[in-house]
Amino acid sequence: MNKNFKPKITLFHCINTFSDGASLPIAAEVDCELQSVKLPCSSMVKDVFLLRSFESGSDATVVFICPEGECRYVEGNIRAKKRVKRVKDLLDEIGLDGRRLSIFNISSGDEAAAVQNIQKAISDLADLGPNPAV
Amino acid sequence: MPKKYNIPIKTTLPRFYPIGKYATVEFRENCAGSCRECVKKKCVYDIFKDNYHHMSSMDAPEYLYTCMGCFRCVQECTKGIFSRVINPEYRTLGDDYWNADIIHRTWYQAHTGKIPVSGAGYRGPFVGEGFDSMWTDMSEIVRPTRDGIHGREYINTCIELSRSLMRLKFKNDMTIASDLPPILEIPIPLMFQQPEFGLLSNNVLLAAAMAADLLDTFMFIKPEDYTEALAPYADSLVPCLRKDNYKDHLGLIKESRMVELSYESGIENEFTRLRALKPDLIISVGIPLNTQAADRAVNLTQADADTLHFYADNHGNELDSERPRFLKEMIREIHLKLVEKLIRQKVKLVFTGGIAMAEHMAKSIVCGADGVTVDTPLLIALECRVCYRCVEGLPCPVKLEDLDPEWGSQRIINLIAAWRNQLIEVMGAMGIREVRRLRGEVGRAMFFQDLEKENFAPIFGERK
Repeated sequence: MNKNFKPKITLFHCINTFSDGASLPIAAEVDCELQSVKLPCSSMVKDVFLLRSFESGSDATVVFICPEGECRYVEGNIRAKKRVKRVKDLLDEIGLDGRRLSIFNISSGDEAAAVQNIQKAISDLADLGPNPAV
Repeated sequence: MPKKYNIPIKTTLPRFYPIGKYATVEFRENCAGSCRECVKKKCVYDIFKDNYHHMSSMDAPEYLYTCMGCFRCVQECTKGIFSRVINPEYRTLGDDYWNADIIHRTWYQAHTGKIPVSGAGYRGPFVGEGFDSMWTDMSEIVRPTRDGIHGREYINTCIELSRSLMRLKFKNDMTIASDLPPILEIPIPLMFQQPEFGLLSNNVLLAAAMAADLLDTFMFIKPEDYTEALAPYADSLVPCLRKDNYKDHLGLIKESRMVELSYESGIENEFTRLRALKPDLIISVGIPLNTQAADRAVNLTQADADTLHFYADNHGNELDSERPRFLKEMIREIHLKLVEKLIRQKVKLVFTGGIAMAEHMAKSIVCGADGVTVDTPLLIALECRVCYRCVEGLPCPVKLEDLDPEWGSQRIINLIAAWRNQLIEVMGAMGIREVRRLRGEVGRAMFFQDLEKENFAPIFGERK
């Protein structure tokens, strides 16, 4: 992989997981450009938004949802999960690789897990390389 | 008949999507789909249609929060899958004083020039801090002015900024023996102040100066920020000078109708020299709003200053104090001190800092101010998000440096038109037809502290 590659990550997260993705304590040595989109509920993630994030140059997109049974809007996280699965299939189909899109359950306020999952998404990009659609 | 004062309003669209308050969450999968009663198609504001248009054109993932909060979709969805939510970005907008509601309503007024209406009544707390612990008397709202609905056109919002004589003296032939001081009037009790923070590019200052000129009011500005582009509006600018530098700006003084000198000891000795330069010059003195402000006001009034301009901090608090008092208490203190010394009629009092809404202007006048100045609302009218990124040297999210001065000036004009309309509504509801009569008219207001003391202190003792 190109050593100058600086991954661009788009993060969609429900504000009930943590208040602001942009203020996550990501280690300084992890060189990435993180764009955070706060959502009142993860069910507001629509297929078109996920696809649009790749179109606007994101190398990987991460969605954080509440653990099952803990959604403030009852089924919002389940709905988000179904949509992510559908978009993953679409990405595989068009050759972008569904692994660029990942979804994680994060308990409220668990920033350590959030950072760990973002780092995992970045390390996965080592195999995948930059977004070929850009 | 004299020409009526009219502020030309023109809808001026924002350059960026404003951060909206509400959106809807569809939180379940079981949308009937074929019910043919889809509330998304029925939305009277076409919010869902706009959202899809937005999605098809956006550069980066972001959401529109333009829902008006009417609840129609929430109530009428046949499967009940909607819920209304508040935009998380909206919650973090501004700070504890310049809060999201103030910023959002200021944007609306700058866009439309209309008075904002909540639509679902007031849902806020009964009492709050600062100006929210004061209520204005609207008892005459049931009996509007004598001219009925047209009466508002005859409510006068003019104030003077020049000093007045306490009494007139006449000669034996009944001609006036007193030397009459010059008179300077503005049609609204509101002036502009160069904001303390923000990207004050030449375009921002030019937009504010153009608006001040059209509104026939003034803008207080530092002499170092004067540019060639501001020269045509010099008549509406008030240079803020100091005792040690005013002699370097004699050209500027001659072009201006009013100048301001920063307070320092012995500043009153400069008044004669300035008036010798330009006899009809109106002199304002900029005074920090601290514990000594009232005593300084008395001395300067006796020394024949025209206007005293007090500066509170950006949140309307007293300066240099560990337990700062709010603007309204400070205005009352200074006003009452001058009343007690029997010299209140001589001078005009103007206050800067923390004037965030139209009602703050009316409430300041009720407390004893002649007029107020606005600073941060000028920036908010130009779409500023009060994020203070510029203070940290970060780029402005709404690119204030690139705005078109014509566009900016119309946004400010719209905002001031909406504020003036609100002042007229308040005065009409009070049965007052002259803003100069509203000054110090505390009988037209109720203060929470007074009511609490009157009603609960005999039972529970006074608040500590």
